[in-house]
Amino acid sequence: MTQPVPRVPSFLRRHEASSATDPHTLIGLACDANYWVRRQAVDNPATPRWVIELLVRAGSDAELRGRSTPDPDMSAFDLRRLVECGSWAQTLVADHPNTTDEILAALALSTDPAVRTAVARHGSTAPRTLGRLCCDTDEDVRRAAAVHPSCPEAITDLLAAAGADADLVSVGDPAARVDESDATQLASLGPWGVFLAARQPSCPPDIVAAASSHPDWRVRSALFDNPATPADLRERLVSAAVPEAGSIDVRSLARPDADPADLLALASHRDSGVRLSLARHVGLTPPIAEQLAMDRVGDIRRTVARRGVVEPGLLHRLTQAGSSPDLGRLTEPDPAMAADDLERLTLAGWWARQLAVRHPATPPDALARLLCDDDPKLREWAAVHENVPTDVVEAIHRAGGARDLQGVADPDPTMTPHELATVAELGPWAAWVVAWHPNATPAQRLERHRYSAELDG
Amino acid sequence: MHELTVATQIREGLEREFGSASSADDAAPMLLVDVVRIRVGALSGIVPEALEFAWPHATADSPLLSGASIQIEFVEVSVDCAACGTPTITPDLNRLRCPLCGSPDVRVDGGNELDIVSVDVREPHDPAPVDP
Repeated sequence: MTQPVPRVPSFLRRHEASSATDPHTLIGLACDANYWVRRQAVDNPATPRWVIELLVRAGSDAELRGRSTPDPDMSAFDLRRLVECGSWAQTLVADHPNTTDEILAALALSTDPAVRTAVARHGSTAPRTLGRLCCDTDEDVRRAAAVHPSCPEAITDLLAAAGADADLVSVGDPAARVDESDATQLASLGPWGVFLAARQPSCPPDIVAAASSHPDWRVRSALFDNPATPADLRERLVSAAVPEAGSIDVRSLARPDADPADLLALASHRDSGVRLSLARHVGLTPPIAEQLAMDRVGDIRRTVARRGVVEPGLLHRLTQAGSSPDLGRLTEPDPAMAADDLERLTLAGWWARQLAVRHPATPPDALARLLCDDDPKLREWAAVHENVPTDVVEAIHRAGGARDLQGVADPDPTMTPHELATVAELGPWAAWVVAWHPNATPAQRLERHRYSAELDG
Repeated sequence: MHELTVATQIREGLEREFGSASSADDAAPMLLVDVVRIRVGALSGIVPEALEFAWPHATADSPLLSGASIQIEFVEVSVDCAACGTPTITPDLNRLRCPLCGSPDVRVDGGNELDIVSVDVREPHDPAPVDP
C-alpha cells in the first residue's frame, strides 16, 4: 500500500480544505494528519458526509479534532474503505478493535511510523506482520512489536541471537554471531534485519551488497561492525557516508585496528552517524565511551552503555541525576544527590549537563555556569531553575543577553567596563554577549568572531 | 523561550478554536482537553524535550488545557535526491545533501513539520480517560 505523502505545506492544504469543491480532494483533506486542515474540511459543505460518518465510527470525534469512543459494530468493510483516505483515517483504523489482520498487514506498510506503531500494538495483528515490524526502521514500532503477545518467538530469538536487545531498540551484544542462513532470514524481515545481518561475518555477499547501497545510513554503517567487510568497501562506505568529512579524518572508523587517539577525535564529530558507528567500534576505549555516554543522541548513549565500557562511577552519577540506566531517557532523579557530584556533571558532556540543569539540588554556582552554556536550551532551563542566582541572570540581561538567553537584545548602556568584564568571565557565551555591548573594549569585541568560529568547529 | 512561545501559541490557537467559553476568564469551561498530539520535524527547530518542558508552564492557568498532556512525534529529515533519485533519511541537518551520492540537489520531503495532529476533548462531567 502506498500512502500519498503530503508535499504541500499545511497552510496551503488548510486553504484548499476551505475552498475546494472536489469531493475526492476533500476526502483526503478530511483525513489529513494536520488538525487545522481537517477542521476546515469538516466545515466545508462539499466534503462528503459519508467519510465524516465513517471517521466518527472509526473513533474520531464529530468535529475531527481527536479521539472519541469508536463504534464497536463497525464492519471490516467500512474500516477498509477508510484505509486509502489519508493518514488520520489510517491511525484510527489501526486502533479500531474490529480491524482485521488483513487490513493491519496493509497498514503495516504505511510510511507513517505512528500508523505502524498502532499496528504493532493491535491485538489482531498477525504474527507474520509482527515479525516484519520487529525489523522496522523506527525504534518505537520495533519496541511495540517486541512486547506483543503474538510476536513470534522464533523471530525474537533470532534477533536476540544476532545481538538485538530485548526491546529491539539497539544492539545489546555486539559480539553475537549467527550463521548464513539466519543472516539471510534476518535480512528478509526488514531494514533493521538487514542492519543486524550486515554486522555478521556470515552475511552472504548479496546482502552485503544490498546493505552497502541501502538508502538509510544506519543500515550501511552496520558493515563497519562486520570483521569480514573488505578494506576497500570500508573505505568506500566512509566516503559515501560522510561526503564532507570536515577537519576530522573519519577513515579510522573503517579500520578495526585504528589508533585509539584517532577514534577519540571522532567522538566529537558533528555527524551523529559517525558517532553512532564509533559507539559500536571494536576499538572502543573507556575515554571514548565516557564522551559518548554523554552524547546528545539517545541511540548513541544507549549503544555505548550496552558495551559495558563506561566507567561505573560516571554511570552511577548519571543515573542518580535522573538518567535511565541505559542512558536513553530521563527518569526521576535522586533528590539527595550530592552537590559536588552535580557540580561535576555541569562540567561534563551534554547529557550530564542536561541532567544537572533539571536536578532540583543543583547549586547556584553550577547553574551560573550553565547560564552561559553553549547550548541555548540549557541556558534557558538554567534561567528558570529554582536555585538560579538571579543577580547573575540580571547581570547577563543588563550586558545585553536576550530575555530567553538565546541571543542579544538591548543592553543597559550604563554598564561599566568593570561590570562587563565580570559578566564576560562567566563563560564564552557571556563574553560573546559582552562583545556586542557599546561599552565593550576592543579586546572584548573580538569575542564576536572567536566564539562564532569556535561553535562552527 | 522558543518552545514556550510555540506552546503558548498552541494554547492560544486551541482556546480560540474551542471558543471563549473555555478561556481563562470563565470559571467553568465547556470542554476539557485530555491529549494534544503534535508532530515535530527535525528542521522545525523545536526540541521535543523543551516543548514538553514548556507545555505545563504554558497551560497551567488554562481551564481548557491545564490537565492536558502533550504527545510529541518526532520526524527525521527525509530528502529526495534529484541526482541519484534515492529517497533517504539524512542525519546531518546542517548540510542537506544526499547521504548516498553527496549531491546537494535534494528536495526536503519530511522534517519540516510542526503540526497539531489531534486533540482529545471531553465534557467536564465525563470521566477522564484511563491510560491503557
